[in-house]
Amino acid sequence: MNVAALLWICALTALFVLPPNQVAGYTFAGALALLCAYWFVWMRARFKGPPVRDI
Amino acid sequence: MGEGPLDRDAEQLRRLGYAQQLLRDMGGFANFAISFSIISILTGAVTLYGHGLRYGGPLEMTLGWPLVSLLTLPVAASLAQLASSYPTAGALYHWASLLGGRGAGFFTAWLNCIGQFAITAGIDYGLAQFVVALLGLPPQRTLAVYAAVLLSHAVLNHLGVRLVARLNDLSAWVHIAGVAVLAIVLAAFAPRQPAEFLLTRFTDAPRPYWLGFLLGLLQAGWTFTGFDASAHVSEETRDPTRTAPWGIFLSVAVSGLAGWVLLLAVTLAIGDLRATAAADNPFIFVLRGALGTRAGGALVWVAIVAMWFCGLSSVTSNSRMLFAFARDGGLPFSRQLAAVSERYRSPHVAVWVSTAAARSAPSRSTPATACPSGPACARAAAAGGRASGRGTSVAGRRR
Repeated sequence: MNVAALLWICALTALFVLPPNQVAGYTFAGALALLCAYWFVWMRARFKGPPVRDI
Repeated sequence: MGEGPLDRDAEQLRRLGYAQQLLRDMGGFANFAISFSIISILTGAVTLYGHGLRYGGPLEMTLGWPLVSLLTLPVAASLAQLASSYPTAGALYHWASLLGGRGAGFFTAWLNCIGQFAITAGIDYGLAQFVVALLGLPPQRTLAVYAAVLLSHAVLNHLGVRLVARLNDLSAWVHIAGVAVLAIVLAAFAPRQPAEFLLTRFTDAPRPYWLGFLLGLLQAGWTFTGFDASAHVSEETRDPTRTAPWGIFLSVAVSGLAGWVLLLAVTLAIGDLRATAAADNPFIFVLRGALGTRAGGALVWVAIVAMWFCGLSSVTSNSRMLFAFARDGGLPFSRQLAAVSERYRSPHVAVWVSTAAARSAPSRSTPATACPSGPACARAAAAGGRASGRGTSVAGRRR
């Protein structure tokens, strides 16, 4: 089930950015690049994430 | 005195590391209704019917929609399983963090947030365009109407989840009744094409049909977004380990089935296929052509009400995601963004920030009057972000 879900998400992500919707792809790539910079320059050392507890 | 169900839900949340801050007042149906409202088959049908028809013709409606519905169900099932184990407002972000590490959580949270801003913008801007067109207002008023719609959503979400949950319940019935009325009225009163018409291959540009069909799948792909909302409101839902997973899964399953019925009914009522595909809005064109201007216009208003509900739910989901990420210190001004209204027990600052972010989206792209595909563009950006977020969570699940 999870493999099927992953495959469909990958296929759909490709569909989302095919022409004539390539602007969505550029926007997505640009946002990802900015997030990478933000993460590696600033947040990686500060962000602890959610509390991890055993349930 | 024994421990009540709400105490058990709060205790479960405490074991996950969080205090019960938000008002837990949603039942199972309201939880389903919020995701069902965001998927909003009526919104998808009105704003995206033309996309599917132009790229893949009637066959797109007959095969494309059910295909995407079936392929989306495994995604919903995977997310439902995660929601049953970790029913928190952070949802995708929280699951990705626990299963893939804090970096995966950080990227998932941001992509999810950006996608949700764009979804709200796409829905409410599309709604504003329809209202302006139907009321005969000058197109320059679109941004003002858009701001008014967003304001109504922010105020209602600020006032708390109890009111929003009641409106979501109503929204689910509006969607179901709207589809039923549209399908019955079209079947009873509209001139109908023969059943073979549903297998017609049509694409409006010189491209191979398979490529048109593939691109036409985005009609359903853009519609099936936001069903993780049931998980985002799990801290406000009673018995969320059972109700949130069902909310996620059933919202996709019911939308798939009801949406298919609607699309087939509208497609069978098409008169001239080429003229319909060339129309500004093929969905409205079909309704007006088949039922007359007055009846067709009235049914479009039903869809507009559904779009308003869709935007309301989208702001609810978006604000919970912002609240949850801020609660863990992932955003600038996290302490302020994670504030909860003492009176209404809603994440009121996150509500206003999410609507303000959605408001800034169209005005920063193209002028309102020159962007007829604004909703579709926004949905494209939104769906890209949301799909990646879902992928990160499900990938984490595989580890």
